[in-house]
Amino acid sequence: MNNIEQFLITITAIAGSAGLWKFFESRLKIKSEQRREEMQQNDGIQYREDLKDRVEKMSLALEEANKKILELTQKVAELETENRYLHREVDILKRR
Amino acid sequence: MSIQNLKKEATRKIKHLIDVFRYSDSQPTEITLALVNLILAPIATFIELGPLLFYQFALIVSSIFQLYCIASADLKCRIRASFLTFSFFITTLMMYVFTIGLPTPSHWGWCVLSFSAFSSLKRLKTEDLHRS
Repeated sequence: MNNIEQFLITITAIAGSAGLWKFFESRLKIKSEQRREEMQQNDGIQYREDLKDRVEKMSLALEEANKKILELTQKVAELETENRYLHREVDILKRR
Repeated sequence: MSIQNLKKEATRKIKHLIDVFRYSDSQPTEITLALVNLILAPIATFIELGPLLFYQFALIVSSIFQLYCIASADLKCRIRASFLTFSFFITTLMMYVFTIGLPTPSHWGWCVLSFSAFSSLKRLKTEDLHRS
């Protein structure tokens, strides 16, 4: 084998292996990016689930608070009426 | 132990082997491959194929570069050097194929070394991608 032949074989083999490696490298990169995207999507889904839970809890708390406000309003109305009657009675008693 | 348990255990062990092959640290392999290119390949090709000065000199330089990169603990440099090592194993294989062929089973060892160099390169690239 002369010098030119060995030089040509070396260059061809290096170029061939470079091509092969470029192909596998791009495949590895694509796979790695896909994995990263999947992980990010999973994070997004988890965040969305957390938000849903929070919204459900908050709407339940709002309903309870509305009920309590209604009860309190009723009680205040009752107490106002009672208070009015009591004032009247006090006035009547004072006149006597 | 039932057949199902045996199957599960075998699957687990095979998976572990594949994980080790894909992700384990490959520095000892890189050193071995560099030493093969530094000592074994020039001597073997000189004895079997004759003096191929350009190629044998390039082999030695690439293996020294590989050892330098491992010693510097620089991942990018190791990837470049591993690529060169892989290329030179392919070159050695081609040299044999174009001259005397692969006449004995021990000559097929160059294929094994090329595969080993390629898997080492792949592991390093995977590590690089995971780090970035």
